[in-house]
Amino acid sequence: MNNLTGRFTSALSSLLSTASATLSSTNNTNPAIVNKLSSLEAVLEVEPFIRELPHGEMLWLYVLTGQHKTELEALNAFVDLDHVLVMVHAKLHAPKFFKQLKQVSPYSGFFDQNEVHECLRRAMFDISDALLADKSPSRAEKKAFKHAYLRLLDIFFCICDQYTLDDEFYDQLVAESSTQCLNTKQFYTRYSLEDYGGTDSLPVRLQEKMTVIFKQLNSRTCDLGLDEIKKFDLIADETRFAYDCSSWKKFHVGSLTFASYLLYRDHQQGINDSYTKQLYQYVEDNLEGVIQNSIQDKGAKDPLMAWLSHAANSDSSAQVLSEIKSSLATETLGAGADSRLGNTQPCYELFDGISRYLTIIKACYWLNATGRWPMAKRVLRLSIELAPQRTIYNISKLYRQGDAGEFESRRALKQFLKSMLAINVPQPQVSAFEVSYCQQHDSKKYIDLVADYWVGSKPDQLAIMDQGLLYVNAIERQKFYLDVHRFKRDTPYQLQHELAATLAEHLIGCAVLDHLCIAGAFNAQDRRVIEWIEEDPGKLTKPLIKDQNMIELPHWPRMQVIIEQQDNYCLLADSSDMHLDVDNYEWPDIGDLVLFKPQVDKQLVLDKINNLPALEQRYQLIGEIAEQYIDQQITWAQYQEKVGAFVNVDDYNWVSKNYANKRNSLVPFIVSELDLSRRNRLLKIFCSSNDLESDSLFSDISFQLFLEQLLSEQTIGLVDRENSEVDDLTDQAAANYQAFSQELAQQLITMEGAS
Amino acid sequence: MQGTDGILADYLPLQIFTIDDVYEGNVDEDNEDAEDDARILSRSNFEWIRYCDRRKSSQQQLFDGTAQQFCATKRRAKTVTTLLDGELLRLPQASYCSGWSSVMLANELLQELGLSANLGIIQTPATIVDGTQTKREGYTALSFHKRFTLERVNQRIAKLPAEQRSLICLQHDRHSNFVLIHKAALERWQALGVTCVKYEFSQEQQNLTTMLTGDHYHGYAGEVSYNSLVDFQQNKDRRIWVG
Repeated sequence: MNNLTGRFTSALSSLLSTASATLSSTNNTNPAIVNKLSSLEAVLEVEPFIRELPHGEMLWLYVLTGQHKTELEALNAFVDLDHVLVMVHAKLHAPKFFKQLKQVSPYSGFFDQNEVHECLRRAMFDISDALLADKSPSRAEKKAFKHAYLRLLDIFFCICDQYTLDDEFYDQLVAESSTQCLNTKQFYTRYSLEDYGGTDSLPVRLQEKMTVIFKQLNSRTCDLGLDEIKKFDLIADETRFAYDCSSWKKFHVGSLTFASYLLYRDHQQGINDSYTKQLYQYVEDNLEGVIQNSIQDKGAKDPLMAWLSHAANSDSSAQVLSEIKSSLATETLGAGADSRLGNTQPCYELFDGISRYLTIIKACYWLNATGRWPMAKRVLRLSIELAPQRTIYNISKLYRQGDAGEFESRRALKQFLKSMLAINVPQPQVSAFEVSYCQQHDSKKYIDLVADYWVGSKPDQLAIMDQGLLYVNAIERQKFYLDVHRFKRDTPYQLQHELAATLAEHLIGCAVLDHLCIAGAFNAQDRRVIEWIEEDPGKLTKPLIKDQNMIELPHWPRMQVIIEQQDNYCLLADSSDMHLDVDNYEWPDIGDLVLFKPQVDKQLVLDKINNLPALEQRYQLIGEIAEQYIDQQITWAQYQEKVGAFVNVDDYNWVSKNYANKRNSLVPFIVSELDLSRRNRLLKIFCSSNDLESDSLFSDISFQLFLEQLLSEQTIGLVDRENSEVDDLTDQAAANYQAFSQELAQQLITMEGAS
Repeated sequence: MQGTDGILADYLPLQIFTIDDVYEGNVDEDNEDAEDDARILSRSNFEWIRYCDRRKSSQQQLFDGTAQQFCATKRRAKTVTTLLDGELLRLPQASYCSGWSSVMLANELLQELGLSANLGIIQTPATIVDGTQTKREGYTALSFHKRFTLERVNQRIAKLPAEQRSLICLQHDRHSNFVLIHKAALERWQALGVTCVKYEFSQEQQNLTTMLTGDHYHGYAGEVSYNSLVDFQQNKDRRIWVG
């Protein structure tokens, strides 16, 4: 290494003393600039990596100055770099650069050269920041730094098998104005083996990109958005050969979606050549099949296809739609809760996060914009009918940055909303989407929308908004109505009628499990509870039979109730639906089990099981009991007794983690309640401990109430209200909060029924 | 391979049979528990990780050439140790390391290969701690650090002498690959009596275009099971299941 350094220093000195007059304009022989360049920290990190390559000294001089290019080329020194493995070489010779590579990579351990190629731009971040950022004082220095960076990339390009540098480099070197060094043609000439444009077929580089795009678009989890469309545009802008669909796969969602976008582009640009016609034919041949495949396992296939292909009589569209709705598969989990909480949107599997149908909607959106595809129009109509907000949100991603981020401007949002009306999305749904979007991304506009709800709105306009909001996410809907209440505090919170269901939704999280409900009705010495996962029940000593009145329980939760009799064990209730072999002394399938001793009255057990309210009924019952307590119809002791059979009132840890961010939050009910006595009873349901100071749920709720008070006094605004945390408070505000919290705790402790 | 005029016409897929199950005693295939009890070796007894990674949730899949000790993802095979009574457990001459980015080869197979540095294949000398906790020498893990496009193979790898490019790793999609082996090297392995790799391929399995454009590619030839440890040790009466 010392020898190397010596040789290098001598070569550099020689170079600096004999600046050649024949150098091209990209070369840099200014000693001061070379010195500065070679002493930059980021450059020092990569220096040993280059210098330890074959012909490393000369390559390093080439990076710094641009010299020796001809000699290096004559030695084949650039092309022959392809035997170097970046990770292995960096680990051995340039530990800092190796660390940088590992930090920026999503992969663990060693990753292969193709993955290095993929994350090289991020690994070079410090270097590009030092060499391309506009920090240099002189033009000459800026120019020298830029060219040094490009020369460094020459080397990495060759090491990485001369595969075209990643799109991120293209963005940096060509598209981004602050770091732009090359035009597109120069970029591809220097960092790709393929010529840019001008060839008589689709360059392999683009073929590879399109293969990746087709695969991504065909994936069930594809999340096509603005970032992807920018990549489509780069390809489509470069060559018309990208439009040649003659070899694309048939009935492939990826190819069809790309074809739809290209047709949309042609329509926008007024192009109608042989490629357009070929694409048109491709979509014509494949659209129906692709839709059919995507809805294969989502229910309602036949009526849905009949409706889409217009085979059904258009007069009976409403009837067919209703048939489709009722036979489409829905997700069972959560659907019931949504209906209790006023959310009218069923969870159709067709629209879930692993459905190609969402990509097809986007393809149909583009096709519909060309005005030639009745089936695309019907896909949109159907989607709007079935899941309006999901459809709008899904299409909106085509105009939003990142993962459903912001529109590029308010104007872009406005245009998008207009385009939704143009495809017959009902006004209430468009308005609700605007609320939902602005709530996340444009607080100023959102506040205007809240104000508009009251100011100058006629009853029918309010109804429009209310109708649309039924379809948005429950938390966003709650927040909107809470903010509406905040705007006009003398009006009640409009979703007050959902209190019972919301309370039940939270309290059920601490529900007593079914088998414990049954066991709890009998003396502990008369029964044994076996939670199968926890304990081995041992061997059965007698055969197991089914009672003639055995109750078949739902498949979930998995449980059995058994009573021991003189000659056998008798299954009284079972969720496993198993076939019993009386000769085989086997326990039933895995589940929680209650085993009663022989002295227990079998009929009493059966009655208890039969009278156990179903989950839905329990939801209702729990909500009603809690609401009765809040309304002061029953005392605290009565509340505890009634609810205790179903809810473990001592176990609110679950509630405390979820009370504010579950799909229906308790916060709006708490902070909007103007009757303090009612509010405190509501709080007491969750904060009944004697030691409220150490109760994290109470601390959080009291902080929410404190902020609400500051908001109502206009000490803080709505945005600060949402974003404030205890640590943000000034000393004075913290002291005020402390006093507020203590007073609230005192109120709860001294309430009726406090122990 | 078919569907190419280039050097890849002289290659076939490298496909390895993985050892799936070795049973001992009566196997009741209708009774899963009994089948489990009878299974004394399984695939995870022959799938290798670095010994230093054995307690980690994710293991390194590509190695850098520094000699390493390896063990199986399932490290102990107690019953086998007892049954073998001091006899060495037979290890496959070719098998996969966890994640399938590296292949473990017995050195006698490696000797039949020529691997130029340009192929991006790193050879890591391996000591294997087998299921009976015995250290075994004479193995090398081959890690495929590069996945080539077809164009790169024709443009660059084709310039290497045939004997220096016995294995070529082709890019399948963004994160997967498949490895091709030169027919001459495969024939040499066959002449050595190596049975853990596949030699016969259908027309479709040799079709390069199908392989490159297909959605999935599995680099294994099939799964091999044995009815007894004796059968496994002698490599006889093997049952092959091709998924």
